Amino acid sequence: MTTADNVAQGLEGGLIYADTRGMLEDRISSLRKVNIYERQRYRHIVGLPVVLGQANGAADVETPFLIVRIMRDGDDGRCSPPAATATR
Amino acid sequence: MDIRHDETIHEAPRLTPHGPWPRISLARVPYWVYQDEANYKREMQRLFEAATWNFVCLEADIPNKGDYRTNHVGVLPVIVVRDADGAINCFENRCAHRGALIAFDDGGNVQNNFKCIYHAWSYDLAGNLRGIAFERGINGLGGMPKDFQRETFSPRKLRTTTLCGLVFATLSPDTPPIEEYIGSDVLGRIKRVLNRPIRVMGRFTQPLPNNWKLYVENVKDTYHASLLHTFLATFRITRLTQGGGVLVSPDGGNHSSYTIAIPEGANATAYKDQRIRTDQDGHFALADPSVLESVEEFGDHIQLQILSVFPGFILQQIHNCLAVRQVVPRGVGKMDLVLDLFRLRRRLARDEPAAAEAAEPGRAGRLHLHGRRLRRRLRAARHRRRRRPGVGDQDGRQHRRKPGNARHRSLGARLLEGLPRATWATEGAADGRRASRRAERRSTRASSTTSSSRNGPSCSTIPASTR
Repeated sequence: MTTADNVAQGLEGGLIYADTRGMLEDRISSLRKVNIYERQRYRHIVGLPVVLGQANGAADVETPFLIVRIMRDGDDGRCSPPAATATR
Repeated sequence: MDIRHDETIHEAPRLTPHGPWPRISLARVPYWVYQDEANYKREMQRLFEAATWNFVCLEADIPNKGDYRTNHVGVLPVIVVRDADGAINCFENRCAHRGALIAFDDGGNVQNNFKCIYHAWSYDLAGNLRGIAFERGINGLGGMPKDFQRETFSPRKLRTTTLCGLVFATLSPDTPPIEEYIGSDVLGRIKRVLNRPIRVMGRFTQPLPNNWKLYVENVKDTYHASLLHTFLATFRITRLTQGGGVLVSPDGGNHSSYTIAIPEGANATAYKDQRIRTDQDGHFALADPSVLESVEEFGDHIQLQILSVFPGFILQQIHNCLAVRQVVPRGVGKMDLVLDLFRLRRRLARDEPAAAEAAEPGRAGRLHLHGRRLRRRLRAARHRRRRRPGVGDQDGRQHRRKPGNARHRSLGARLLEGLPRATWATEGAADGRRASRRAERRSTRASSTTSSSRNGPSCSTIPASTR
């Protein structure tokens, strides 16, 4: 998992690294059973798949998607302006 | 550095806009310190824009003339650029005219000049104002006054210094040399990680909804790691009761915490013995633990190191994952955490002692992205960049070093020469006697911090409400 910027610059490092099925399973079991997070839900919005090409009975397909993380307070989980004010 | 809870401050309590500073203990910091706008502004000036060294980029980011990166020193936008002599310059990224950003991108290459897009004022690679559009006006009308002196209108310049491929900048003439600023204990640990030239693998920015100090403090908090990051104990990767310690520079600003992992075997009940929630019933193992594979290059069993340099620089060696992190304040309750993942550029040479132990050297920092498509794209991107001279592809280039930096190359070997492992400290370590004295001092300190600082909150500063 990486950013468009990194790909454009030829930087191969990823935020998440998984190159086997086992590593992907570890990610899922970690999410479901192991890690502690603030309560949140995900909504996946999937775009139209594009068939880029076919060869030897296999197709090269790309599908855009958008994932929205919805936090407990309805926020999208990114930075919001500081709600806290100085108290004494 | 233990701060005892009963250690009372005897001076008269300092009055703050929020009431008196708590007298009870040095370990108590009122919450308003993390929330107060005026305090935040003072911090930007007195901490970031004062006598401190601020990380601005990696040398590997700017190997050639005209290569630059943009960054922030606190809230001050800066440009860091390599000039024709190979020196690294840093100056404020604000046009002297209307304060627009001189460079918008995160980095790139310019030939000889930066040009502000607003009115095309231009600056050389040292940040000197060189060109002003229509300086003499048009047809004898307008233009700058006759006595206008460009030299006096340049953006603020920062002093730069380099250390193990890291570039730091400061606005103050009084900031001590970087080695002195960091202190020999933490310096030795930084050199342990950055002992060879590096290559950037990827950059990520994570916006965080908190005051910048909370993150910096969290980096120094060894208490939370195996409690909050439950995967560490559940997958039996790290536990709090492992060996390790914390080194803190004499001024308290810089630190190194480390964890030692000795293969367990007979001691296999250690995780259960902790009786914390993270050790769930039934052993929960990673399906593919190869992601954690690393090489014991130094024979000191240090599995994890987190290092920090005041105010906002962090270097991590977490198993095989190497990165620098930078804390960029974005307002009193916001910050950006900027991560540069990197790998070491070469294996240890055959004559370097650690090489014998390394079955597959260079694995540290290994990160791959797989999939044919991505590989194709990366290749294509590299190819495009090769055809456009001046746009930095670090792969196809010589790593340029300033003459003084050639020593980095052999540092790994030099650090290991004749020194007990886990004690190589500074470059001055060539002097064996001094080094071993240092080693004694360090091992005393490390063992004394191990018990106190890793087992509880006694060493950490606990925010406490003043209410």
